[in-house]
Amino acid sequence: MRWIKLLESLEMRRSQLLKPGQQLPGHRCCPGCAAPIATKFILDVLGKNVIFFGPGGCGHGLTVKTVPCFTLHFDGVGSGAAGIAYALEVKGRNDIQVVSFAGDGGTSDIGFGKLSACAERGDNIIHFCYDNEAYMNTGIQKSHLTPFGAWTTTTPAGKPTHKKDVPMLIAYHRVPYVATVTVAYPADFKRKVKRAAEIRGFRYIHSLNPCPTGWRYNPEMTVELSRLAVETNIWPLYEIDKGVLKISLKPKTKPVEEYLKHQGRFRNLTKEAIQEIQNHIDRNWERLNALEGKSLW
Amino acid sequence: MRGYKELPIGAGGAWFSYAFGGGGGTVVSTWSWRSFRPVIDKEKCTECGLCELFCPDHAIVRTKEGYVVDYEYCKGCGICAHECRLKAIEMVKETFLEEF
Amino acid sequence: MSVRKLLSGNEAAAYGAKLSRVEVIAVYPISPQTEIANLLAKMVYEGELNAKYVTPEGEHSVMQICAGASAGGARTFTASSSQGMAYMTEVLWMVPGLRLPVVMCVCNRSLSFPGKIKATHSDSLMHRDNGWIQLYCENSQEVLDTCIQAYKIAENKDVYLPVMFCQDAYTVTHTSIPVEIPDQKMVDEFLPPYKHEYVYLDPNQLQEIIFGLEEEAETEFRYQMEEAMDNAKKVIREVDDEYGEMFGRRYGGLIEAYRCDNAEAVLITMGSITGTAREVIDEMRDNGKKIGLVKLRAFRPFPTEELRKIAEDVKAIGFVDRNFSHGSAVGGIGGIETARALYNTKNKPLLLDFIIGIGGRDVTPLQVKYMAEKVLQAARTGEVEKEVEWVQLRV
Repeated sequence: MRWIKLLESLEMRRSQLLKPGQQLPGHRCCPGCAAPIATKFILDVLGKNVIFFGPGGCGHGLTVKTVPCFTLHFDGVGSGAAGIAYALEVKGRNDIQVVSFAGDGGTSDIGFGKLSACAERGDNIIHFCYDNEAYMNTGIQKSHLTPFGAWTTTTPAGKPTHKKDVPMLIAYHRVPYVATVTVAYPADFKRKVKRAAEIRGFRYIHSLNPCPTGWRYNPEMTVELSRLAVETNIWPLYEIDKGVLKISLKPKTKPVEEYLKHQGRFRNLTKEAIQEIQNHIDRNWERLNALEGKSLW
Repeated sequence: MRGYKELPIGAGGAWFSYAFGGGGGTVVSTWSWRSFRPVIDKEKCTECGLCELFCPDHAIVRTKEGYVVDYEYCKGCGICAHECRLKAIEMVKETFLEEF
Repeated sequence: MSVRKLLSGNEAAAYGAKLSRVEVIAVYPISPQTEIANLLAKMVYEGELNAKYVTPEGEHSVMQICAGASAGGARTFTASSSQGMAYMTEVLWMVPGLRLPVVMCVCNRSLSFPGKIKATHSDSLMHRDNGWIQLYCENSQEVLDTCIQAYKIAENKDVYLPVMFCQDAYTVTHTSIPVEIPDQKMVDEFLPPYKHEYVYLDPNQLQEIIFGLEEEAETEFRYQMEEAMDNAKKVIREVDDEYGEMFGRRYGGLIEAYRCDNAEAVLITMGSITGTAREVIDEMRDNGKKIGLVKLRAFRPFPTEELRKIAEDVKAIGFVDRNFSHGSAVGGIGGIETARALYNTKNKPLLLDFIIGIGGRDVTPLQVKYMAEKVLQAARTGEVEKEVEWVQLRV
């Protein structure tokens, strides 16, 4: 009886869902994962004329979409998408956006060289990094974007080095657009995706994606944590539009402990470690404010 | 399971992504992942749409009768209940295991 | 109008790409292939070739860009060699699995170390398992013709497998012979524009999404590729015939049997050694020796049927391997494949294997004569003196 009821609702919903340009439910991401929320926002803005390249790692769960996807494994981010962009250019299809979708591992570790090359060439793609701050899909191993002090399976004592500032590194390749976003600020997220879609050239959007499985918290806190990350200045929201930096939100700053205390991966932080994190974040925020409104190059 | 003559050519691309057309993975019913299910209190709900905006699974949909949870795909993460400004959603313990 | 020009193998490959109207070119320079990269850039810059020329930062990206571009609907061309082929191996395995018709010119060069930069076939042969079609070219003219044929083979809807056409480093890539460059209009007639029937990325044409459980189907996909390889045998022969009729030059399909009629023994060669061997076989035939030459043009798909037919009438076969396979059953890769092809045939001939030309060491006519004599001797005595011989070994 129960199974028949399930099948009926399947048919009804299926016809509602099979519209082009959608992230479908029934994907395999963990409950409370921020990546499907991010994909939903991107597709809301870009519509159906988009080709996704290569979700890797956790993004493999997201492959149920009603847009064309193509993947060559996550180390091909940048290059593979660039190939598609070149083919589209040759065919004269300038209305289709190519989005290279990668995690923090594919963006800043194994694929960093590729990304740098794409930025240097100015390939016409949007690179979107969903940053869950470790190699989550293979079992929470550290990546270059894991923050200081975080527990991972390969840094059980806490990561001894700070997070790599990839958006700035890419910005200094003199690309036309770089932005940081997160899921708790949907209007800001969508505005930045829209701005990126208007520009030709290499565009880079970096999203902080809280991960309940790897960060060790109750899944309902995903959006809350990404909000706290911005409010504690751990993840400042800014954009660098043609070299000019603009900070998107200047919150009433909270101490970093408000963000760290909810997460199991920071459970064993000492007072000194928390102070180190606070100093690092404060220095970073000051530096961003000093650069604001100025041209980076 | 389809034999080699029926499988589309070129569909062997990365694990379960078909290298053409749609994203190509297979949609799986994820209702069995739940331990808690969201229940919307229609009296308190003002249909602001925040729950639909933040749901990772497209599992809250706006219908003519107001916001409805699609229990086919809801994984019970609780983001909707946490984000609802008016506390109109309550996470209730899931009971389907007892029904089997 | 066709034009005759003095072209090296590299230049011929570039002209072949130009005539095939390639649309996306991604090449990373590596000796001995750098002239291909340079010449194609020049052609695009001067407006002779209307293509997008991309400068990747490494061969791994080269193949990723080519795969992406091919899936996006553009005809792609690339070229590489030993270390580059090794570096792109990770992606190289994906391209036939995705059934993308990329065409690559391989300038066969030794893999380091102790190899340096001269000709050996190991770099392409190490990819013999993954589904790339492999064609070996004897001289610059053949390089140009094979490039055009390669696109027709790869883009055939019963095949859809990538093709690598190979030329020996420095021996072919850097030596020039007069080459006839066919007329562009005739090539356009021979080679229609590229449109993949199954793999295309188009938001307006979505394939059906499957609802339900996951199916793992690698066995089935691999079997589909086996069938495609089988179809490729027929397609290679047909394309070669068609090319021969239109342009006046044909290469025999999968193999070319040179003076094999009532031969007692044959030598099988691949690549530029064939050119030298022809002269030697001619001389020996003039002296009454019953020796023939088989030029193995396609290593993948392996010409099993053709070799079995030749084996029916000869008493001994000598495979000239410009490669090695350390720790293999017996000798070089060509010898092993031939042995398996002929294993179950009745009255199979004796098989000798010669390893020669490693590291680009020049294969002289005297050495070819030596190998031919050895095979004739085996045919005469009915015994194999040595199963594997490293012919040029300095002791």
